[in-house]
Amino acid sequence: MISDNSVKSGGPAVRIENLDKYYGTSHALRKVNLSVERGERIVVCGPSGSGKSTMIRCINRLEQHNGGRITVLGTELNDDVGNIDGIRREVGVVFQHFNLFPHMTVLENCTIAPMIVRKRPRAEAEATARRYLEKVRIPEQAMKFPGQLSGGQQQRVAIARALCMQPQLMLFDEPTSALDPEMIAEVLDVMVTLASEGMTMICVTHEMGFARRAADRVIFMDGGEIVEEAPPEEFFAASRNERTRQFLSQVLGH
Amino acid sequence: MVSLLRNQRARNTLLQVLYVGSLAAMILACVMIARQNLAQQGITSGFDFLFKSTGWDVNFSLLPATANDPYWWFFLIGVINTLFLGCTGLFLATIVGTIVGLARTSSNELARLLGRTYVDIFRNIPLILQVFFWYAVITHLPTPRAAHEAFGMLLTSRGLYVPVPNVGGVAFAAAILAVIAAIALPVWLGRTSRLSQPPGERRGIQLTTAATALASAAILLALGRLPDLPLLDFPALQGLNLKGGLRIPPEFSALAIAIAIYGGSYIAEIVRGGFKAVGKGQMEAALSLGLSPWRVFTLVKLPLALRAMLPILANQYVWLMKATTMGIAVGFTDFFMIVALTINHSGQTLEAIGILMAGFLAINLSLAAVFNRINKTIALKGNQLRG
Ligand SMILES: Nc1ncnc2c1ncn2[C@@H]1O[C@H](COP(=O)(O)OP(=O)(O)OP(=O)(O)O)[C@@H](O)[C@H]1O
Ligand SMILES: [Mg+2]
Repeated sequence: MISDNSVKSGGPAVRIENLDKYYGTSHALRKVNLSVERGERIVVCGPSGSGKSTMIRCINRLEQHNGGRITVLGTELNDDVGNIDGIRREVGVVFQHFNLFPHMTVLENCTIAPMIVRKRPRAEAEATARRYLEKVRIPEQAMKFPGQLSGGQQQRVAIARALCMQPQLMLFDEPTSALDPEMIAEVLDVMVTLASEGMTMICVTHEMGFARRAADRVIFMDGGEIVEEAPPEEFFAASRNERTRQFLSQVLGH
Repeated sequence: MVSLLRNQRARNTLLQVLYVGSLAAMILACVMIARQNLAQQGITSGFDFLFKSTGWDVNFSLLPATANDPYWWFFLIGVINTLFLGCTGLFLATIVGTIVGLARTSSNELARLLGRTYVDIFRNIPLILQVFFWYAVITHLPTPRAAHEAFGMLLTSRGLYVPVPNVGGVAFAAAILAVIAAIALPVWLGRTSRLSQPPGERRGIQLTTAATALASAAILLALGRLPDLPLLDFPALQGLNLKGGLRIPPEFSALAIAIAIYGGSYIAEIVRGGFKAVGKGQMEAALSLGLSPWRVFTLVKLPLALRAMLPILANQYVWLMKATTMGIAVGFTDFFMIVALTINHSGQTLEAIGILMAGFLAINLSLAAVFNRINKTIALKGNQLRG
């Protein structure tokens, strides 16, 4: 029933109109507008507390918005539980702290949702899982538990777990900021591959190298607003905004 | 020699030997002195008394008992009574604790308040007072002639009378095992072949197993049925008294209720702690995959919470098991009371207390061993990062 409207082709992957979000009295998002086309790769950056996570979390209802409209893959996010389930099924999320299920093996982490939510038989779900584990370059870890892997490996499992649901849109919330420098590259490589294959992606990250290599558009947020959005070359070369320049000089380290 | 003393392994072994040796010597000395003192008082020590008949009776027993039975049989009755009380109390306390604990973690403010009030009240009243309270309540229930009746059970000031099947002991025990299997096997099947078949088929296999086990339970009951009697023996009024059925004495009910309510308040805190220990991130990840809130609870939250709870829960269970010795305060013939009566009647103080300690040690060590085993099998592998 829901998959019918969520597979609606045409129209943007995500359309956010006049989005407002409050935590109690604090105003975390102020009239945010954003449209993401299918196949587009967006990088979101901005100082701490600017509302990046909040925006990402509103897109699959981990946070409930207080004003405006969010339409994901043609379905509007409202109180309709069917809509929420339908959208969550089609949107994969990768978190800063991986959030793997520690009591399940890597393979179980990757097969549980496809089997229950998508009703795939076990054999098919496992075959899919092994294919994606191969893709994130850790097929040999399938029978291990998350606690037995390095941070970079865990994050790649988390990406595989999300991909196993065969989502149409992937959200990343600072996927590399809990990782040691030598592990950041292995996760970014996977993300670049994913981007080159045409996955629609919204990534909150301060990895400007990744933005240069993979993004179609970079969005800069500050104080709950989108302050600037531009293609990466333009964004890095000739930002007109004072706050953006200040932020860039901090993350680029000069 | 010096080099041997420097060797860590050798040194540890030597210390162990010295420790165990001095302990054994101390115990031996105590026993010798006690024997000598007892002999002077004309009491023969030893365990011969176990085979003498007691000459007194117990007020509640799941096994047949008369005053002619030997002491060892009475000890067995005591252990079984303690286990019966302990298991009933722990089972009820777990249910109470789970409900109150979930109320305490609920998003509903009223539920949280009620849960907190419950814990604050019942954790802070000594168990023995609660036992006396429930004992007083139960003994003020109506007399047998005005008994409350429900489902063939009679509730009176003399106790709770429940119907019992007229079935041979062995057949009845086997039937109980079959019923347990009817519950346990489907659960076990669900785990081992977890999700290997599509949900529909799996359900079918589980249902057939349960049905087979239940059917064999019914057959066992039919085969073991005592001839010429109705299947169930219902308690009924005869003259001024109730006849038939099994009488659960007020002492037992008071203890079981008190342990359930008091223990429940501690278990509630353990349950709450367990659920609070589950990282919010894991639950958000599960929701993001499109799993329903119920699936998130059963597949992620509950399994992780149980892992956090079990070690503390094991301690609590051992502790509550020991609390059954409160039985002596209201006169329930548990293991402790049987030992106390034995001491009064036979004078074999040391032997009886030795048996009591060994008995409780065995019960609680087995309980702890079972829990350790469970904890080991379900422990999370590797290093855990708290998300
Ligand atoms: N659960 C919450 N309760 C109350 N306030 C919150 C909550 N989550 C976020 N906020 C507030 O909302 C604002 C935006 O937070 P958000 O987490 O979206 O920022 P962010 O851009 O992701 O920052 P960071 O780079 O540190 O992750 C901040 O002022 C934050 O304090
Ligand atoms: Mg954030």
